[in-house]
Amino acid sequence: MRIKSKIVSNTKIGSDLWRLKLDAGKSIKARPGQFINLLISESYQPLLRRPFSIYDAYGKYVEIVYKVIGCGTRLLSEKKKGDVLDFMGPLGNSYLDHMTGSKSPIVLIGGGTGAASVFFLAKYLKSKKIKFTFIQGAKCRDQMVARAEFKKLGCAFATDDGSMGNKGFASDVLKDVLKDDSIIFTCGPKPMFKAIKAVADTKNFVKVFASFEEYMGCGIGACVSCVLEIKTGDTTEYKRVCKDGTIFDLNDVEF
Amino acid sequence: MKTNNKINTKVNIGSLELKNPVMTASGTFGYGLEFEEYMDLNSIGAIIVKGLAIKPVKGNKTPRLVETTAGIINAIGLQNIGVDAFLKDKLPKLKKYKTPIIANIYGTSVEEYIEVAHMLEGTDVAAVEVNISCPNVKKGGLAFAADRVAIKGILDGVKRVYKKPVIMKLSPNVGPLEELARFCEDSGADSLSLINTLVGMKIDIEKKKPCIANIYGGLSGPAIKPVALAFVHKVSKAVKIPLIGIGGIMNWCDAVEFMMAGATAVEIGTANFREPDASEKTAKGIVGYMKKNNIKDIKTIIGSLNC
Repeated sequence: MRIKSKIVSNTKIGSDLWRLKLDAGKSIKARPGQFINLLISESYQPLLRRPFSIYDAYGKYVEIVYKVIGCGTRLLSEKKKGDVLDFMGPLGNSYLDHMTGSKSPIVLIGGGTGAASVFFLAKYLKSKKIKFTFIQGAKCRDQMVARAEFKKLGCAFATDDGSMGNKGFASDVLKDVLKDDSIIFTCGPKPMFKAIKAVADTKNFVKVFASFEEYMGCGIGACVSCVLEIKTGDTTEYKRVCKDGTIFDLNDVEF
Repeated sequence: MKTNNKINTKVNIGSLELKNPVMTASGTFGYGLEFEEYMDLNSIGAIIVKGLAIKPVKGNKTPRLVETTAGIINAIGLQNIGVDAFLKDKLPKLKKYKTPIIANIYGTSVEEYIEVAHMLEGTDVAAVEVNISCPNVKKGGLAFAADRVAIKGILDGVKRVYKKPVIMKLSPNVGPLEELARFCEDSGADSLSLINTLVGMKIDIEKKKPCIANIYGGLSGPAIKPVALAFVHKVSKAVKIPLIGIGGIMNWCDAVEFMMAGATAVEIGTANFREPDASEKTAKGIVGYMKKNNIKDIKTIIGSLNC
């Protein structure tokens, strides 16, 4: 879908962290792990759309949490209530596509703004009364995505500087709680995925599904820019993060 | 788009008649099907699909794309599914549209180009666009653009095995473009499309590294439009075969500029990433321009520049 949405609110929620709520005018039926591709500027600076994980979606509303990094996100942070934003989406696959339906313990791990994507899954699981362990990692308290909402869902926290929750990484918290046969859903930076994999490998039969981020051109699978090297049999092939992902089995990914 | 009785938007690329002059540039429109949801694929003159090779191609390492001021640099490395998979999995699904499908083709040797064209002969593919100008692959691509013997070999061979129009896609990255254009015309090309991307680079100063893995890539988007326009104008003075203008065309105004400069048709590239229906909007916008200016036949716009 391509939708001309209206900004309901665009609020600063932490250091360089913003939360944007859009009114899509109709139900967009997003699933946890999916993203929207936002056209931020009427001018050609920035030229391309910017992809954002969906933080929450209900009825005709869709929310994202973003960090101001470059000119695109800076421009986005200056947008006001009532402004119109064109987005494409929901795009990409969902964590739910990888839910086996088994009784495996579920662990959710969000790192940095990647926590936004995992929150949507946590909220979904809670509504279905499915139990899960929830960990969020960030540099510091002020960069923790939506602290209050996460707390409500029983999230454990880890910060690099110890300003909230455990001092250290989300993967350190994982060490203490991970059980055999678990299934982990995660979104965040690649070094965090590596650390999670290292912990997962100390247990038996743990599956890790991670939502990746790569530089996208189109967001709909046409340009083949945002690829990841994926193992297929004895060889590897480049698969598109926007269309074949963003969520992949971490065992299949060369990174 | 309904053809208005009073307005003729048809143009010809060799023996191929297009209902309007707007096409999609190879590499920016996938295999067409990716855009079904976002636009009416029947509204444009032709769909040019991602460059096809004899066998599937894996493509370059990442990062493959980076944004620059009013443009993007890409070095995808021609990742594609190969001709066989295209004919089996993609072309049948495109059949439900009335829009001609043009295959962009490339090879790593003269023989491979000819073989790909041969495999497309007798299929529903309406024309081939020969990519002798990709800046992002080690074999093929630019090396061929500079090699007159190879170009002659490719054109002779492709024309021998493929009976529908053959378009040569040219790069301004090697040598004087007018000379190359004239050479392609003399060697039997039915049409020329220009320009392919300009070689460019971007550096991450924190990491002291190029922003794309291939170091250099092809710059496209609004940033290159004035350069492309000048090349189209110059080449239009040098050859008689129809030209297809490419380079940063974002809307109908840009398209009309290219046509006035001498292009018979245009390709929309980077704009598809921003506005997935950019090509449809461009086709409609041209009709609007024609109505407003009381232009009955689109052909009268071609090369109409006063200078």
